Amino acid sequence: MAKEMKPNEIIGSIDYNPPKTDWMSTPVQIKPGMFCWGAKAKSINTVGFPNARDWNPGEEDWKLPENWQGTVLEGIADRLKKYRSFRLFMDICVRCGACADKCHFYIGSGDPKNMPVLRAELMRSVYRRYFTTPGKMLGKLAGARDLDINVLKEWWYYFFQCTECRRCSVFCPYGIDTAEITIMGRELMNLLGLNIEWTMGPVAACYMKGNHLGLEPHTITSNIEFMLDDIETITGIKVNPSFNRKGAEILFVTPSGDLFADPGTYTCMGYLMLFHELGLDYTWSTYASEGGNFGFFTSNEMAKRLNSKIYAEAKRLGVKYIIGGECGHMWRVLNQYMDTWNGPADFLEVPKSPITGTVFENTKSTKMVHIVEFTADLIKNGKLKLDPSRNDHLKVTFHDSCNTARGMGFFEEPRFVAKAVCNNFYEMPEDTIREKTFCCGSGSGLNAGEDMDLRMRGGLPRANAVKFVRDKYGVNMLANICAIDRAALTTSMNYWVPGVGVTGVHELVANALVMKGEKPRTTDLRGEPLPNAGGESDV
Amino acid sequence: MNVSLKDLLSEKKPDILNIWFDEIIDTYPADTSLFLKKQKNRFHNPVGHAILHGTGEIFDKLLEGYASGRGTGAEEIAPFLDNIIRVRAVQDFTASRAVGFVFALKKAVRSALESSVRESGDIRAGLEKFDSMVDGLALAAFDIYMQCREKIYALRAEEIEKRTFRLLQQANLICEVDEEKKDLDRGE
Amino acid sequence: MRALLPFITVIVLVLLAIVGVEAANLQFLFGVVIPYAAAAIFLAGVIYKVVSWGRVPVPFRIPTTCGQQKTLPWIKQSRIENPTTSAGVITRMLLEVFLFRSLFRNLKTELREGPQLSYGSDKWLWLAGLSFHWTFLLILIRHLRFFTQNVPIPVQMLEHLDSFLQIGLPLLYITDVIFLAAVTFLLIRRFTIPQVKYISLAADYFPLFLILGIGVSGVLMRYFIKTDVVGVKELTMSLVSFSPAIPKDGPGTIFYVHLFLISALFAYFPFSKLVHMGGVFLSPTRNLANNSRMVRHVNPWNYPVKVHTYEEYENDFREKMKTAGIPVEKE
Repeated sequence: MAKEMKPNEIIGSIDYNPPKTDWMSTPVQIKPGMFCWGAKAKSINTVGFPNARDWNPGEEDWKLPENWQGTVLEGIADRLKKYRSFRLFMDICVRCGACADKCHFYIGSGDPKNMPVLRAELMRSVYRRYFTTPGKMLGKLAGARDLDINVLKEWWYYFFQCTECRRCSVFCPYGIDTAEITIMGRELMNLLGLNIEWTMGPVAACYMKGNHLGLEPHTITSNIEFMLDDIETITGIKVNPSFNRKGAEILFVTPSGDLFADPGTYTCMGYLMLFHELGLDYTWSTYASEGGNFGFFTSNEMAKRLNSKIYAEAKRLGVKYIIGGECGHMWRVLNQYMDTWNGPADFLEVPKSPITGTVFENTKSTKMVHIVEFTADLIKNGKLKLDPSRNDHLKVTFHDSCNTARGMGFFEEPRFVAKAVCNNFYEMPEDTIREKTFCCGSGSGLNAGEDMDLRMRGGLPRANAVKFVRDKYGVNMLANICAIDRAALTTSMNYWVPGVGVTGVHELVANALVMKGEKPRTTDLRGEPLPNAGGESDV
Repeated sequence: MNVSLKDLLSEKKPDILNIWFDEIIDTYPADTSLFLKKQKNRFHNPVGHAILHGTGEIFDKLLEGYASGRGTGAEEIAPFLDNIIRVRAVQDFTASRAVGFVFALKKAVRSALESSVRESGDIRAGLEKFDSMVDGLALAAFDIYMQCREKIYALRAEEIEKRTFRLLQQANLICEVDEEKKDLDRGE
Repeated sequence: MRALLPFITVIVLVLLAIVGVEAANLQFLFGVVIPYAAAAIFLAGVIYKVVSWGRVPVPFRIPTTCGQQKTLPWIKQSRIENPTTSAGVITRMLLEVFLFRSLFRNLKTELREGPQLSYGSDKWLWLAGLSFHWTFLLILIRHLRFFTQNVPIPVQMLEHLDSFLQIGLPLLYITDVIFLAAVTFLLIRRFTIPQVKYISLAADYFPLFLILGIGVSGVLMRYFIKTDVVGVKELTMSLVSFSPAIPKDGPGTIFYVHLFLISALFAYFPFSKLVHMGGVFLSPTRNLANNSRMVRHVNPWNYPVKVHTYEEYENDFREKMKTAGIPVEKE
């Protein structure tokens, strides 16, 4: 990392001043703890992307293909013709600086190249040099620079330090969305085989096996069986879900993270219990066993290839509509991309809750309902017997996931549900929730282990707001509707705000859900004793 | 004699804290340091807030320790020190720079008390004691820094563990059906 | 350096006009040829730019949603911040274009500490940005008096309103003051706020210096170095009627400086960041309704992609599926 300091340098004074060179002439330093490992040849080959080879971003030689500049420039030209957002956002920024301090990575790191405007300028400078007249003529004076290996490395480093959370785009007077630029940046990286294994691994697994974790069909069922055992232990009820069942009314798709890693598994138990209690005619699929879409963090085409399985499976099984589980980027994709890529889903029917009869008009084209919308409707219509006091040991706050917040506007539904199943609910400060929510710091496929420093920096603004409500109200549980949040915030809380757990909304629902014929519950889904455990039965 | 330095430190506290704060902030890139100073909203600027509050609390505790003769009181100070170091432990700092800001307090005190230090031998003697308390603080800071870094590595390990826990469960299941089943059966 | 060169460029432009008119008597060039050329470049350039943006498709519906989505009927939708109808989108755009809604968002603050220092620069950016753009527009409208034989009533009313303070002679226009103050503020913040200074390019300073030059020369002309207004109007009218002629007792040099700087701005406009004016209307994160679950958004270049079909999947895992009791298509 940085140079060694002599003791007297430290003790005398700390007047370290960074080199005051302008950003274009400050070459990138690839620092450990800040980047994810390069994608392996195996993963790249599985999906047929170019330049498959094993490589290490920490080494000097990135094993780039011949004429990589040409490939990148062609890639840019191609995308300028395809995406108005890209074209426009290359041209219209006035560098007013409104976005500068809105990025969680900038707030947490202070690295100027984490200012959204500068992250975009990394690309714009090259765009100007090769695609605009002033840039061709005036060069650096017009803010243009050549595309060389240092620039490429800088792109790679910083486009994998953006979680595509879109917070900057809320504040931009022209709606410039850095996520659009990062998405394009990563697509260009893909042309050279410069992806990260943390996304390419799951992409390859999802492509072949149907989910990011690479769970094979029998592993999915046995995983869920484990949960069923736990549910039976806690409630005395044997839940019996079905898999790949033709003729079911509903296909249920959720991020595979929920099947595997705690605390997502508790959320998954929540879905299972809820559906069982409702007697819902639904099925899981092992083929479309992934709601999330790490393809979205590599290229639009890859995202489409992975997403195609959901409609294909719905069609094969002959279901009427689809319910989707709690996940952030999954829902941005479902809301803003799926129908465009793989629709129209004219073989499905407009979703109608079999319990309440509510028709989900807002999903009449995609035919895919968010489970929290579905549950909110149930609760509003009084169809669930709930005992919120079972969550009395929890003081809950809600973290809006970037993608459902700024790519959907999913604010009231989860709050309505959370408040219905918990007696103690506290909001975080206004500037840190809803459309101004802060990213968990690990979104867009950056939740690897090797970039933990980066993730903790990026997680600081969110954690800081949680800390505030922890200290003020004693909040001890952070609810959210995102699988990456459940994994990443657990770690972030552990570092920044010890004592705060992380939960999906449906774990809370299941805790409060009074099921027909259940035995008196003594523990919550995590096996923690309930507040009034041992007392009289609530049933 | 110590009393007079104590009074002086209390009196000059705002100056000392200002200088100390600036010294710490100056360890960040120039364009960032002003943001850290100017942005007063604690949610928009958690780093600046942690430093601003942390330094104030640390100084108060040190002063208490000095007045009562108890010394640094590292345990009491630890939470406030933690707030600052936890942030710096994941930023672009070497270990020495991450905790070195503690020593800047010495400099801050000296520049704030400049004239008095020159004039009074008593103050100088008192300062020596105060300095050694700051040294104690630095050692505590280093401990916290190490805890934070260890935590980072522990978290990496924990994540892997969480991700593989169900897999291990699964593996046991597979073992049961395989030839090892007999062994397990015998064992039970 | 990034600020100095643009500054020198503007000074050179001023000198060019002065020398051209005073020494070389190039009134026709500076009064007719260059303004025509600049107007032509401006028009063609802006149209080209907007058309070139407009021709690029919007493959995906990607509005940035800043309020509650349309969902269950009992949940109140934020119709403007998260529109699903054209009316909502139009309102959102109007708020964006006329009131800089997104910039204004920065204002919201709470739990601030310390003294009044706490008011961030963001509010000022919004205020200065808004003042700058609005006064620029008003001043432009006011200038219509030079391009119409009979000054239209609205323009006259605007002039009245603008000078209602009744200070000085000629009467002081409030817009002039606000305009110059706003431009100066926008310029100063590029020098003083380190983050903004760090990101600023020559292309950010140049238009500011240029516009400041236009403002200053205009103010000088109106209030200090009086020029022959009748001569000015004679020239401008001849320009708009496409029968250009330089009046005998033509306007003074300061007028040519003013006109030349404007010409430079017009000619520079389409090639610079100033085209953001046209771009804001086309921004896909703002001008689309968030209704993509209700109405299918069509991507004109959507193409078939290679997928891993269920059949292939089942072929890979058939035995395992059967063992696990999962139904399969082919036994």
